[in-house]
Amino acid sequence: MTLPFRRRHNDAEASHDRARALIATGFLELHDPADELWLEAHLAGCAECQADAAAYSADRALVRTLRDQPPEPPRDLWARTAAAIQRERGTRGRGTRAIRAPRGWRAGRVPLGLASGLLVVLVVIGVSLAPSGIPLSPSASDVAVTTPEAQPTPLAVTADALAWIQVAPDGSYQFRRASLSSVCPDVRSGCAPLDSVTATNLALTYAPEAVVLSPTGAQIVVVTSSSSVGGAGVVVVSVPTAPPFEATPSPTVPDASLAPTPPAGSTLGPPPTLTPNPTPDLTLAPTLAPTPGSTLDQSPSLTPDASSIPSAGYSIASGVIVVGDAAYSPDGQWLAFSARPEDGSAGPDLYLWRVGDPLAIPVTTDHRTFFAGWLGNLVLANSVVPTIEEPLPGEIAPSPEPPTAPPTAPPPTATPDPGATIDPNATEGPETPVVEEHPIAFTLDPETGSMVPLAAQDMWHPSVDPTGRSVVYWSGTLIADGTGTGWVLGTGRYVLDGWSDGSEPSIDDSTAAPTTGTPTSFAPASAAPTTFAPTTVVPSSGDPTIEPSIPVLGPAGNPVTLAEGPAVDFDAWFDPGGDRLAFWLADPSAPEVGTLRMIVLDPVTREIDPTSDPLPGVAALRGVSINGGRLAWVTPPGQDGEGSHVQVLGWNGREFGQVRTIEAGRLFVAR
Amino acid sequence: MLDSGGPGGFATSTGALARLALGARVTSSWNRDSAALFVEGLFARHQGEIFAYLARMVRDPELAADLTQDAFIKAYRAYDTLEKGENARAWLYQIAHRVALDHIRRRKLVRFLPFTGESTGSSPSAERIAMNTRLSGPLERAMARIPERQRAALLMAEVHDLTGLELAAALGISHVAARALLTRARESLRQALVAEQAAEAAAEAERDIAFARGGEHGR
Repeated sequence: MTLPFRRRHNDAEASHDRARALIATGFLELHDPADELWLEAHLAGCAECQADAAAYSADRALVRTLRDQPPEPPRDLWARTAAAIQRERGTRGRGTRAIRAPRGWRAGRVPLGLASGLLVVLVVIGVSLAPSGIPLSPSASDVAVTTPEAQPTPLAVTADALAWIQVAPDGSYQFRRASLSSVCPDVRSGCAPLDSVTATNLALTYAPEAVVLSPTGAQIVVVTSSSSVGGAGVVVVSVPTAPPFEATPSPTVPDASLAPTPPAGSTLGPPPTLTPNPTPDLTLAPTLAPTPGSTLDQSPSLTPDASSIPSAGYSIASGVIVVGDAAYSPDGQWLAFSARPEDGSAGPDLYLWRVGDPLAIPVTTDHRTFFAGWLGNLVLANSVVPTIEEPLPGEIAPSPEPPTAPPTAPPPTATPDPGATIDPNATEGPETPVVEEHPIAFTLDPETGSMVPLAAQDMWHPSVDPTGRSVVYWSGTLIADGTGTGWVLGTGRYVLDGWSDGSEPSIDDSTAAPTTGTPTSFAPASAAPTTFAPTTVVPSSGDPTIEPSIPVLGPAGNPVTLAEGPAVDFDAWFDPGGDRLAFWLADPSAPEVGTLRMIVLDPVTREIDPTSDPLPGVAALRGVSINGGRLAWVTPPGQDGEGSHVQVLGWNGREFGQVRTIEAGRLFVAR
Repeated sequence: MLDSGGPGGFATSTGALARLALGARVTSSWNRDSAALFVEGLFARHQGEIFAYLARMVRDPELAADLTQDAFIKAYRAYDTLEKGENARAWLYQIAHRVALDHIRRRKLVRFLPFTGESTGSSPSAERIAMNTRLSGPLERAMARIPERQRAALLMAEVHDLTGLELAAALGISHVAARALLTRARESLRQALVAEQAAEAAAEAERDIAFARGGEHGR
């Protein structure tokens, strides 16, 4: 019901209303002094208004909590808006062009110049008769200026820097670093090419095959291929950790705070002293014999270190071909890889290199051991269980001391790597039945040499996430490739599973030993590890040589298939948080090229997040680099007629985008 | 009704905002290229807060994105109505505010129709779920209870830190009216919060009763 008159407040109500209004607006702006004085006096004698003031203040504080979590706009908002504005402009143009000439007039019946002149006149007349009634007189800029293309809104990311080796047109090698601050939804029309902030010339005489950056960023490990002049091997190169080259064009020594520092625990000498050369050379000389101290080559372009430790680069393994990945331990103290003799005389063994030592040491001698990755600061490796007439696997060298002589080499035979395709013409003679062999996995403490076999069967090349909650591996068998020293993938599938630290039920209780609770923090296996040297372990089911106290590390037993066999080769990498998994499956017809995909795992359930598919599958060369906030890989040459790029997928929470470097001839992204 | 001359401190040409509201074309002094560049800069500086404001007004992030886009397009069209660049923020809020009110008005008209107006897909996106969770607390529900113009005033003043003059300009009312509106908004929010608390208490009591009954049946 509406009252016929407005009810008037009495004086008391009016003063309360005035007080409330002043309280309410006092948060917005200062009052007049008179109002302020009046309010103070009123509040002093009005408990009700004091309560109102307190309530307003509390409510205001509550509302202001909304500032803490502002809703984030979608990253493509600018692209959409810019496109709409562009359409808006286009619409205007079409609107003017849509005005038709009166009947009877046809452009084809009059000379072109006259027709165009009439068209202009008609357009002006037509616009003046537009419904808005506002005459449009387009300025020159309206016609001549082209609309800038709609650019997607870049996604700001906080990502670790990335590094790569680039082969220049003259054949020289350059080590480059770049930082990543933003990515774009559409890499082709989005962000500007990622540019390096440092470029260091490397006078490599070896052709690189893979590059590994140390956790400190102070050195790189270059895996060289057998096609190199000096042969295959592994060399270590100190690299600058700061971007001094472009920033200091004058030939002055930069600030000491920018000078590269050796990694913690490293016995490497100081980094290369900068010379007036804007891109100093770090020379590596080929070394054919792994004699400690004899592999150093002091680059003439660098200031030699006063110590006996090389500062430029040196070989830690030569005459061997690295099989699979090489990787630093999380603490940066060790490098592990598996390698086989370059002459193909034997299968691979596990090598360990303590940072700063002159040489990497083979710690197995069974010639059938493969480095898989790091489980904390433990090495996670595979061996292939031999057939009954073959030597037993996993024979470990007595100690990690450097050998006095290179490993003896059996007569040379071809040794294809695991994952290589079977060449039906590789062997001659009577056909032998295909025998599927079973891989085993074990951990090895590089400090103590203690080895702990894992109970899980047929787990090949496991990659455990750094937080120890998930694992990816080939669940299946291997098949000898016919050379006697190599294997290819057999029957199985590529799976993602949970990872048990030993305190949870294992994949198969019938084969699992009692758990002893190895902590997830990946401390060296202190729970009754089996000392490997020089014992022999054949961890097949029920084998008496397996001690019952072996901790049941391994898959949790809920595998999810990522790819069905048959497969040629694969690799997988987790990001530091363990929630993003990148995996690469080789192309059967060209195993150096494969399909790279990234999936996101639920941080709690560890299941694949079906709502997030940031990288559904792209062509990538073997070997990628994943770190905080980004995944980097090298695109194969020939994609859309282009050369290779280092392509980067960056993320910020659940949002992803990409950016890439400019095109280059050959690229090796540092893992 | 629109004020002419900009009571809140930024000057608008008479009738310009009326033309804006009607979606009218702009005048001959309008330069498309300048407008595009200006809006681009405006977007870079204010897209986040405009989106946040609209998201809290309409409580739907996907819709808020559409409305944000709409607001910037309108800003592009109305480029010549801004006579002082320093007032661009309040001017932009005014546009966004009108876009939001227009939408809410249309939504009220179609609210009785089933599954129209708000739903944009068969299943909500993760972003939308997250946003809805964020927008579904007691405070957000209380904010949703108060009239739109009061909600807008509260958001602009307390969350987006508009001054009194900017608030008046953005709301398209006089300074005095803006202060009064904000006072009413605080009182409305206070009552809405009390009502929310009462509703929560009632729901909790109901759950307790249901639980007790279930326990009795289980014996």
